[in-house]
Amino acid sequence: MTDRVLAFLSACLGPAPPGLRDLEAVALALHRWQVVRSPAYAAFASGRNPTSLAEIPAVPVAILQEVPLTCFPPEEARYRFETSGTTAGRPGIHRLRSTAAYDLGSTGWFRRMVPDAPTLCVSLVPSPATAPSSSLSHMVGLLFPEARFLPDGAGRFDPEEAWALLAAVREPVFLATTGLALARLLDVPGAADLPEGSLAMVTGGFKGRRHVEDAPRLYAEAGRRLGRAKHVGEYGMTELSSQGWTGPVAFADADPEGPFRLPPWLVAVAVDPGSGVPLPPGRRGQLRFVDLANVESVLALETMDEGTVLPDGSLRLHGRLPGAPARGCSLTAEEAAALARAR
Amino acid sequence: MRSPDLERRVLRAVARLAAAPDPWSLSDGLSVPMAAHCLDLACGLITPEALHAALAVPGVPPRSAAVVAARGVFTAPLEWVALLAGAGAEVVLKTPSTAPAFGRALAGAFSAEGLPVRCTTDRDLPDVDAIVAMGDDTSVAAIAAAHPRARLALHGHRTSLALVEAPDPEPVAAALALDALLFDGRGCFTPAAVLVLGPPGRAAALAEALGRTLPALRASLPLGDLDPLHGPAWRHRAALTRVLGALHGTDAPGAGAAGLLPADQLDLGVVPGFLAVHSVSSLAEVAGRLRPWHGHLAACATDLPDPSAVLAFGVERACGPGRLQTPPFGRAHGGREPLRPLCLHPSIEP
Repeated sequence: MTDRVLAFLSACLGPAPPGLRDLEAVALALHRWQVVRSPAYAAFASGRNPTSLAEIPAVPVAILQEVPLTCFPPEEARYRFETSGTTAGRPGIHRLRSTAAYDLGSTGWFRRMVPDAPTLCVSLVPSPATAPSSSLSHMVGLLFPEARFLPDGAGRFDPEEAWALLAAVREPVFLATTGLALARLLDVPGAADLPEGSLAMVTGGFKGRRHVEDAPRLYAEAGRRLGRAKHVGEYGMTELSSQGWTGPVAFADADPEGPFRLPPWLVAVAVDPGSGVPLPPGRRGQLRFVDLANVESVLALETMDEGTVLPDGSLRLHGRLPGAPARGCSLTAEEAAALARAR
Repeated sequence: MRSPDLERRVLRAVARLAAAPDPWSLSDGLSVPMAAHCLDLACGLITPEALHAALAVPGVPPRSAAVVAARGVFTAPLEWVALLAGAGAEVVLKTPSTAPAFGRALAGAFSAEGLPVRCTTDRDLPDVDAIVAMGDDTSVAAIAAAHPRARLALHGHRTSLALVEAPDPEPVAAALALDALLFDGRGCFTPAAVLVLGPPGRAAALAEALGRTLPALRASLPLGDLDPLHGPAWRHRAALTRVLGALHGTDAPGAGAAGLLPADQLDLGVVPGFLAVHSVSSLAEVAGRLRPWHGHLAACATDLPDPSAVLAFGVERACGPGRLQTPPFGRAHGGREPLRPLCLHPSIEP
C-alpha cells in the first residue's frame, strides 16, 4: 500500500496528475488497508463501509492524545511527532515508522508552491535534532538541510543574535518562523535589508486562542524591517503529513487566513460542527482532512479548526472553532480537562 | 422572618409562572415538551410546606438583594427569587442579555402579586444587602470583588455524577436517563458519568440498558437547540468509546447514547445526551478517581445502601437516581442553607 501511495503522490507531482476518481480509489483502498492493520481505527470505523471520500470516517484529532492510531505495533514508531501548546491537556502523538510519504509529499509540494525558494535558510524553528518530536522542525530540516537553526529545543532563541545574523545576509534567504517567533523577533529593535528573492515562511499554531488578532500589525512591522522579503504562509498540523502553502506576496498583502493551496492528496472538507454533515464549498465550518500521506497512521481526521474550503479546493483558515456552549453552573469541557490533568 | 401573606403571594406568583402559556419561549432553546416539563418540575418543587420551612431561619433578612442568573438552566433563579421575595426582600434579577425571557416572565409573575421583583440585563448591579450569583468561577469572583460589603452566595461551575451498584440495570438506567436528559444537560446536576461498583459485568449491563433508555426517553423529551460545539465533543466521546470500550445508542449528537469506558478515562465534562459508564471495584478506587474534581462536585446519584458514603468524595448533595434534577426546594447550596448566609446575624450583648 505504501508503494501505491508513494506512486500516487509522485504522479500528482508530475506533469499529468491523476483525477479525483483516482484519488478516491486510492483513499478508499488505503482506508480498507488501515482498518485491517490498525485495531484502534478498525474499532472506530466498525460498521461503516465508505463508498466515497466524504464518507471515510474521520477520527477526532484529540483521540491521538489517548490512543496510538498506527498500522504497526506502536512501539515500532521511529518518529513521535507531538502536539504542544494546546489547551487540550496531554499532547497528541502522531507515530510514524517511516517518513517516506511525508518527505516525498512535503518537499514536492513545497517546490511546486514556492519554486524559487532560496537555498539559504535561517530558522526560528528548532532543528530536528534538538526538537525531534516537532513535525514542523522535521519539515524545515527536510526542506533546508543546511539551515541555520537558532532556537534551542524549547524554541528559545536570542532575537538580537537573529537580527545580527539577518543583517549580515547578502544573498536571498528563507526565514522559517512561527507567528509567535516572528512576534518575538519584532519585539526587539532591529532590521535587516534582506535582498530581493528572500522569503519569510510564517506558520500558525493557535495555541488554544483564536487567530492572532494583531497579525496585520505584525505583518506591517515585518514588511518594514525585513527588507524586500516576501511572505509565504504554511498550514500544517502535527497529525497530518501534508501541508498547505500560500504563494509569495508582499507582507502588506499577506493574509494569515490564506487561502492555502493544498496538494491533491490532501483534501479538506468543512462540516457543520453540530451535525458533522459536510458543507458545500464556500461555507465556513469545522475542518476535516483526508491525507493520503498518513499511510501508516490514520488518513481521515477531524480537527477543531474552523475554515472555508473554496471551490478550487484551497482553504481559508479562520482559527479555532469559536464560541462556548451555553452553560449555567456546569463545568465546561476545558475546565474538566484542566482538572483531569491532575490525574 | 415568616409572613404568611408573603408566602401566599410567592406561591400565587409561582403558580402564575407555572401557567405561562408558552414555556418554550422562556426556555432559551429547549424543545417545547422539554421546556414545559422542566418548568413544571421547577415550579412544582415550591410547595407551601417547603417554602415555609426554607424561610424559617434566624437572622435579619436582606432588605434588598440581587440574583445574577447565567445561561443554561433557565429556571435556576426561580428558587432564589422565591426565597428572597418570601423573606421580604426587594429583588433585582439580572438575567443574561441573550436570554432575558424567563427573567422577565418571573419578575412579571411576582410583580403581579405585589412582590418587589424586577428584571434587568444591566451588568452594573445596584447596591444591595445580598447577592446570589451563578455562572463561571471568574464571573462569580468578579461580582464578589465588586460588591465587598454585600452578603454573598456564589455558585461557580460544578459537575455531578452517579455511583451505583445497579443489580437490576433497567430501573437504574431509566432513572439516570432522566437525570441526563432534563434541561438538555445544561446544568450542574447533569450526571457527567456513571460509576458502577461491583463486578465489571454490571457496568456493561447498565451501559447497554442506558443505550436503550436514553434514545427512548429522548423521543418524549426531544433535544432543543444544541450548541454547535457539542457536536465535536460528542463525536470525540463517541470515538473514544468505540476505540476503547463499547458504544450503545445513537450516533447523532445529543440523541442519546451510553459508552462503556475504562475507569481511567473518567471525564466529568458533560456531553449532553451521552453517559459514560465506568466499572469500579471499590470505594477506595472511586475516591482516587474523583480526587482531581474534589471541590467541584455538586451532586451524586447513588443507590448504595448508605448514600452518605458518597459524601466522603466531596460531593455537596447525595440523592437517588432520577432525583438529581429535582432537588428539594430550600436544600443546602454548596453545603450551606440557602437563606442563612444572606441574612444579617447581629449579636446583642448585655
